[in-house]
Amino acid sequence: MIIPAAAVARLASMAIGLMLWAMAGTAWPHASLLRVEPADGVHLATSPAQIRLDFDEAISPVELRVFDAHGRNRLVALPAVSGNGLSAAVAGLEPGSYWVSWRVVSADSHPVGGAFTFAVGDTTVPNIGAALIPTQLQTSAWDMALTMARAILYLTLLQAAGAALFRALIGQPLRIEALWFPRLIVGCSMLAAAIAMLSVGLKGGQLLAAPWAGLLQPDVWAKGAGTSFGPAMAVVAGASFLMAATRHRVLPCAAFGIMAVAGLCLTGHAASGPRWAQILTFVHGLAATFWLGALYPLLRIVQLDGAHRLAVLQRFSGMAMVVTPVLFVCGFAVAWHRMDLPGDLAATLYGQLLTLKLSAAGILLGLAAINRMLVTPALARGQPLAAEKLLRTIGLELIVAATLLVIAATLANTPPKVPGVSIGAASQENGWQGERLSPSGLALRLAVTPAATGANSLEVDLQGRDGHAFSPISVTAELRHTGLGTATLQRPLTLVKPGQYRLKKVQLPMAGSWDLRIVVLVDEFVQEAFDFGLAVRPVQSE
Amino acid sequence: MKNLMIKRWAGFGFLLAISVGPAAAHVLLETRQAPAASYFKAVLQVPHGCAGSATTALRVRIPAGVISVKPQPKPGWKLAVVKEKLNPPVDNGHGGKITETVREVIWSGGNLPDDFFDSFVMISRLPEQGEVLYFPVVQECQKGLTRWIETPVAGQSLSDLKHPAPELKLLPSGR
Repeated sequence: MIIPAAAVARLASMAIGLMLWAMAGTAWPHASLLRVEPADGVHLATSPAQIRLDFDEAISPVELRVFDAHGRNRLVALPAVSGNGLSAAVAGLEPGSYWVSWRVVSADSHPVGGAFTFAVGDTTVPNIGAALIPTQLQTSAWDMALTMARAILYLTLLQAAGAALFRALIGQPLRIEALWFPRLIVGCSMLAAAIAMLSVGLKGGQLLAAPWAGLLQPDVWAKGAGTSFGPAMAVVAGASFLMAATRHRVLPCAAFGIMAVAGLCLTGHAASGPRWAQILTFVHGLAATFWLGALYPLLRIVQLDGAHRLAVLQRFSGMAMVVTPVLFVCGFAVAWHRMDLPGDLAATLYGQLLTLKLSAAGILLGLAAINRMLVTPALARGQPLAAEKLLRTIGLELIVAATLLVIAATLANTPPKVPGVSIGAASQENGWQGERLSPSGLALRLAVTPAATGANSLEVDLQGRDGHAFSPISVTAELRHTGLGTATLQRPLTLVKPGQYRLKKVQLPMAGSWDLRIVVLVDEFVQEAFDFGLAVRPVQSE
Repeated sequence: MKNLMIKRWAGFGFLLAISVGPAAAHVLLETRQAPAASYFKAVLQVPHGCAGSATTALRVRIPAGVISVKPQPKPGWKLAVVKEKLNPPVDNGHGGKITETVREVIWSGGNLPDDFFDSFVMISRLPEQGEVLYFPVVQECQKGLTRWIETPVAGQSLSDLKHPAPELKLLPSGR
């Protein structure tokens, strides 16, 4: 049988065409990884003899490296391919954690890569010498500035609003005319308003990780104003201005004071929780304002106004008997909601700060009890030196109250649920924190603890454009060591509670700078990526 | 005569090959640019399943501004659309108003083995303004799913993305 040349040519050209078309259009799927050995995240008693990866199709290796804590590759032989598998021998690995970085080319010549980790032996023993690049623990200057601003805001706002409340609830009913009230209110409320406005710029700088000069750029202020922080600080600053404007009118001034305190609860942890917790936080703040804000006016009246001081003390004392329990109950309820009490009190930085705050509150309560049960009755009996004693205890209360407010401000800038660091210890392990804002207005706060070589935990807080906790479909972390150029490790985070995600015990064996990307699947079709540069410091050997 | 035939066929094969475009291991639009404010036939090509598993459903999110969406039914697949209200309503070009638009198109209940390829077709009217439109796709398979939803950020190109959303460049309108 003779086949015409033309037909052969036609068939051949069709075949070539089809082949080209197939290659272009229907390309093969990429190789996917079926199994690794040792398994991802596993903790082995002794060193494995080899590293092995199995794929669903034939591959050729591009890279296979096993990094130890010093960033050295611990493979002792070139990777060998057998069928769909890739394996390589490792030397006896000492206790510690290890990072396997791999890249292969699949049949369609598409590169595929990834990473996994495992640990060997007792990893609690620090295993790092001074061999690695020393890295500075990054503490954001913006965080510090924000905490300081918040502390000054608490002190000034509580004093202004507290003085206004004191005048409305105690001064006016007892017909006390004190000329220094308006002056005190104006001074404190104007300072509070200025700090509240400045905070918006600081917040923007923190979110954008801008240099200090960023405070001169409108973009930075717009970013700060775009979060729940913006409206909250607008309320605080506005109400503070109105307090200053109405300083001579007792009731309006007190009302604006209450409004300013409410403004504080429109942002921060209060705003990301449920509505009842926000209301309780407000009641807690208002009670604190009444109690702590009354201390300085009390001091002045005891000092200057012999005629009224006993009546004032008795009226304040009676009201405090109601306000103080409310203060503590609301405070406890909110703390209970935010943390796993009592375990977190010792285990988290937030808990440790809260313990400090509670101790300060306990001291205040003790001093107040001494005043109520011992000193005030002594004053009533006309005992000599009773007034001086009273001045001393109130002065002490003022100092403790100021300390307590600074702790409260630090608490407000600390994520409640980051496990395991000790403060004040010789080797301080603060961990690492970062915050980013996506173009669509999603705010993400990331905490890595302890941000040191070995096992770390990741904590992600998400806040939507409306300032409330945001729970997307999924949150995934992607990690790679920048300096060593490793392949990327992907790990899903698990939901702890609305807006809060956690990844426990991810091994970061090598110190230095890491690229950390958090991918948030906002809805079925939209994802947002947040990129961080993480500094992992070496754990020093003992 | 024979030579001419050979050339013609070879030419046809070559044209066919380049018309399909470069390395299409991704879910892509067959035509990747179109004039703004034109009617556009979007052909989504699905070249493979999810890591070897057969495709059973394809869901497409219609980008904002794209209206009058009509997907083409496929034998063996159920077809559904998810609609949303348009606020404010837009002109339909014929004196009326469009108050509702298709937000999502879902082909489901099918079976496209990993070894085969298929295309999913719809027509729509493109917006008058804009540069690039993305048609994010969720590909559901017997085992697992793939989200073709990544969009490049500043400094990234499509090739930096693992699972890019199908992209359509808007050309200046013909009018």
